[in-house]
Amino acid sequence: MLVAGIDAGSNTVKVILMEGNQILAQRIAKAGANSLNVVNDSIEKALKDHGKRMEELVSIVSTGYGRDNISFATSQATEIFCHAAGVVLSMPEVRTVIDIGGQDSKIIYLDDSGQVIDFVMNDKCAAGTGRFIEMLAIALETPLEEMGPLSIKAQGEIKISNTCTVFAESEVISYLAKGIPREEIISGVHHSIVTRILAMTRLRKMHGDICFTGGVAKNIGVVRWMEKELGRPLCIPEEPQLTGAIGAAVIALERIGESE
Amino acid sequence: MSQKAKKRALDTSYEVAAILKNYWAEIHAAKKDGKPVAWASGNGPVELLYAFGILPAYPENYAAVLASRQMALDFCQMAESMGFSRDLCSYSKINLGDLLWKGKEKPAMPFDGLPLPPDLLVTTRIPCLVQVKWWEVLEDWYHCPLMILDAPLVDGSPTEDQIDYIVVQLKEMISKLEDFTHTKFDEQKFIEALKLSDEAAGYWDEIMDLRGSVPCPVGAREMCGNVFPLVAMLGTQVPVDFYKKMRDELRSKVEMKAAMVPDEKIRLIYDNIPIWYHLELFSYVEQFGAVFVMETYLRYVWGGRIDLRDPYRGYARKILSNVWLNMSVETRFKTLVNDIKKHKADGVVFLSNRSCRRYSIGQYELRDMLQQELGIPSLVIEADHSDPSGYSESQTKLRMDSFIELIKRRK
Repeated sequence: MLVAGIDAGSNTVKVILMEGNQILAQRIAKAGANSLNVVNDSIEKALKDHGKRMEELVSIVSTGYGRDNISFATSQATEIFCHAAGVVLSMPEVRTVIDIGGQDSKIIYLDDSGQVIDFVMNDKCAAGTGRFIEMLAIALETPLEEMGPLSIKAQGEIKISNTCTVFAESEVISYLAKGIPREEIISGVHHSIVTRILAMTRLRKMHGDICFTGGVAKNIGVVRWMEKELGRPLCIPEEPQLTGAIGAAVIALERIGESE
Repeated sequence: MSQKAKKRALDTSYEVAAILKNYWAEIHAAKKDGKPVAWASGNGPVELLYAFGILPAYPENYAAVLASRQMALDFCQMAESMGFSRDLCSYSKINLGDLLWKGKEKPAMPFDGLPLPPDLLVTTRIPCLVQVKWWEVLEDWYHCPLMILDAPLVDGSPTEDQIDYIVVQLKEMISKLEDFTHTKFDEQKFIEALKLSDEAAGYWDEIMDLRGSVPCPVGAREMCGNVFPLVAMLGTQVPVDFYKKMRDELRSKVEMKAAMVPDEKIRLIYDNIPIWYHLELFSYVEQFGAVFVMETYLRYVWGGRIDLRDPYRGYARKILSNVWLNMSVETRFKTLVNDIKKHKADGVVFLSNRSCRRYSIGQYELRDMLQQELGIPSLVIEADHSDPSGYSESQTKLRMDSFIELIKRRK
């Protein structure tokens, strides 16, 4: 049976089609100003690519900030549960999920059966989210996808002390003015976000394998700092940005027959 | 953030609007007649004022009224533009912004605003220290007498020394009020006010306990409006009659098993001052079968029983015992554990309140302790009680949704 998981995030829209336990199609698109259109487009294209029709979807779960606005979704689930379900599908040993998305970051704690037992989310400020890196990439005139590879070339290290995105921006500009190599500044930016995220884990001990999800997990610089700070390797899904949508599809599978 | 009114669970709740209106009309009438009006802060010794025929107005309470009517932002920004820190208690910012208003046209003030100028200022250190500084600013502007009741932090029950300390200050205040009004203190009137205060608090406690019934007959949103007579009119007959009636109505609701939420699934406790500009958050959870059954703000800030056998010491004991903000983290924990059991709660929502740190301190410790000792999950959300400028409705709802899903799956 065909199901869909839609993660309508603040920055990007992610769509997964699943048949049985197999992922049939996946799409990531910029949310832009009209994310509903992007959701519609993405799902239509994903279906069309595989010769499927909307009517064949028996269960559609939406998650992310836009989850309540997707009229054709049969039910909704929060990102917390979607990320957990998405991770457990491919990495059943994981007991802690660190997710850094565009507007939120979260630590999700799982029990031995992979069920969510607790979660912590960032406070409402953009520091500690993907948006922090995006804004500083603009200030550094560096394409987002180059931030990771560049930063691991850094020879030295500088410290970004401002957690506020706006103030960090002027801090970065002052480092540039001082002639500090860009790689070192970028590495400092990554270190800063990692420190901020790991501060959230002090409230509850992490156990088992730790998985890093969300768009920021694609950034090798952040991954390296996170591993260094934690003193252990991280599990990273093949496409970390899709974890929430995969989880939504998994929940859609579980909910077949329950909805409507 | 629209705060649409929906049908209330209790008929008595509809009476608050008229009580509120009458209260303000009386204050303004007194002021017009040349009677002294005091500006008092919550938890202050207002029963003493009634003994001298002085009516109290409450700037904090009025700030909450403005916030609940989506009017707070302009006043907060006005105070900030006049040099007051953004981090100050938003009640104080709203009040100071109101008083300092300059430039653009001032919005129409509900109930014709606070009676100006105050003739007397009464405050206390019991709930917080900002109040004292705020009242000092008012003293500076209005050049009227300021009376401050100092209080120590109480760990568990107050000691006899601590009670002595309050009693001495109460007696000093009485003599200052005699000087201020040029009248002799009427102890009988004072004891009468204490009696009324105690009586209203007794009914209120019963109301809070009745909400512990399964299913819960009335939720937090409605009760946040219903607390008004207890906050602003304690020591008078009005709250006694109002809460007696409400208690009776609740008793019959509980007997009939009337539920705030049909098919109640999740029972929650809320800690901190309500988010006045988004009270809808309390009713938002109801669509998921969840209901707020108890709030530390409604239960442990206002009211409090008084042992009238020794009125001064009994009153001092109440002043020191009943206020959540003046409790140590350990006492807060013990109290919370007791209430979780009593109200059969499934989880606790803590508001980490940006401009009320004294209320918010220790919440992460409480969260950990509840998880470890009771296995009760908690959620910490971040917002300010009255300044809406940093609030994100969608982020807050996302956290609430996830928390409710977590509790549902654990059950």
